[in-house]
Amino acid sequence: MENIEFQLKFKYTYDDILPDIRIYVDDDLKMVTQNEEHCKFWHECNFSDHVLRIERTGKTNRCPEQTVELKQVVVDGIDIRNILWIKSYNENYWPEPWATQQREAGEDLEKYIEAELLFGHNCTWRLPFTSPFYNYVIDWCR
Amino acid sequence: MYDINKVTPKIQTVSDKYILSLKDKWFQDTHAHITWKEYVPQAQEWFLGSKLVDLHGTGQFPYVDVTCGNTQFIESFVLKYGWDGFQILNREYAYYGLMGKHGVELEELEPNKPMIITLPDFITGEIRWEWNELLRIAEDRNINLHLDFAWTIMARDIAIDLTHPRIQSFGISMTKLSLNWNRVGLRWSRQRTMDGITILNHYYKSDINTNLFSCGSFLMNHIDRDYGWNTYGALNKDICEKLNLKQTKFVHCVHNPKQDNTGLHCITPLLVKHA
Repeated sequence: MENIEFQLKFKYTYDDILPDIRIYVDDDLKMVTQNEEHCKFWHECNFSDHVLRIERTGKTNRCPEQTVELKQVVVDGIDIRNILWIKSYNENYWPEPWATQQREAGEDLEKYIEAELLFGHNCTWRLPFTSPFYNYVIDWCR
Repeated sequence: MYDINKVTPKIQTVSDKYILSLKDKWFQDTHAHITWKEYVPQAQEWFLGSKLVDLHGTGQFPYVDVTCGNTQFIESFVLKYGWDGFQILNREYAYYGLMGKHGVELEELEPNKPMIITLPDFITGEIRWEWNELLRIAEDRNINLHLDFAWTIMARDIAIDLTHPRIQSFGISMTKLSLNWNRVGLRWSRQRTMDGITILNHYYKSDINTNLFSCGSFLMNHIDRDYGWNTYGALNKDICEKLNLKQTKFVHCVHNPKQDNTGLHCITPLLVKHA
């Protein structure tokens, strides 16, 4: 078991409706936020597999300019930018009728997009990792 | 009989004939190759096996890594938190001051900023007088403590309770036994985190730095953990009595009430000469 600090940095763009962000580690809801740029929390991880998960909601057809960008993730003091670019993936919830229009026009809307850190649509972003975290980072680098 | 002029503020480790002979023996003879896996338990037993220094609660620090002495313990810590990302108290090692890092008083300690502290310190030869107050402040201000026990190797009558939750790691080394030529020690952590020592120890499991472990093992096989006091304790006492000096926790350091009752003075030249 280890107690790990997570720090996430977001950038928000919106007209008048704020996006909603819920951050989980596995099934534990760690933070709920709308426009906090810096989020910090601790989580006790047993030495096994885990998932850092961000649920982004609040996007409606009335606020097309609303985006959330995940600018940085620091876990146990380590900026894991390169790991995000390889290991994270995003599941978008394509809005209707836009999604149908896109498909009819021949666009392939992927269910999962690797390394996507700019959340335009409502989505669930995930980063699977293992604990102890330092070991995960070392193994990833090899 | 003892020359008081040999008692000076310049602190020197005890480089005696026996310790020097081990160096010769290491370079002249053939020795077993000791792996990281073999060395760590041996070194733990050796470092924690002192009958003169009582470190209580070491079981709460299950993650043990090999260091190239406590300087690496410090440097790895600094690498992790950055030069401005940690704090020290006043009257610390010159090591920090030489590179422009200055200490603060207890009340100036910043919340949430980790600190490293030398125990016992080589200015008073004791556990710092602020220790209990520091623990209280560390708890109140969420300051993680990392303890540099480099000098415990030459100390006696030291008892430290490591169970305080803000104490995150501590390091001990053989270096102060005048073994600078093979600086080797251990770091114990409450929770292992990524830094230079962690990375190196991950790779030590293969054939890296084998000479460091093998030599450390050899030295531990030939040097008693409490070598300093066991070898020079009686002589230290006699020198202090004859020269009206005051004993400290360190076998090679005393207080000289006639000169300065707070700073340490070194009797290493007398210990080596009159052994």
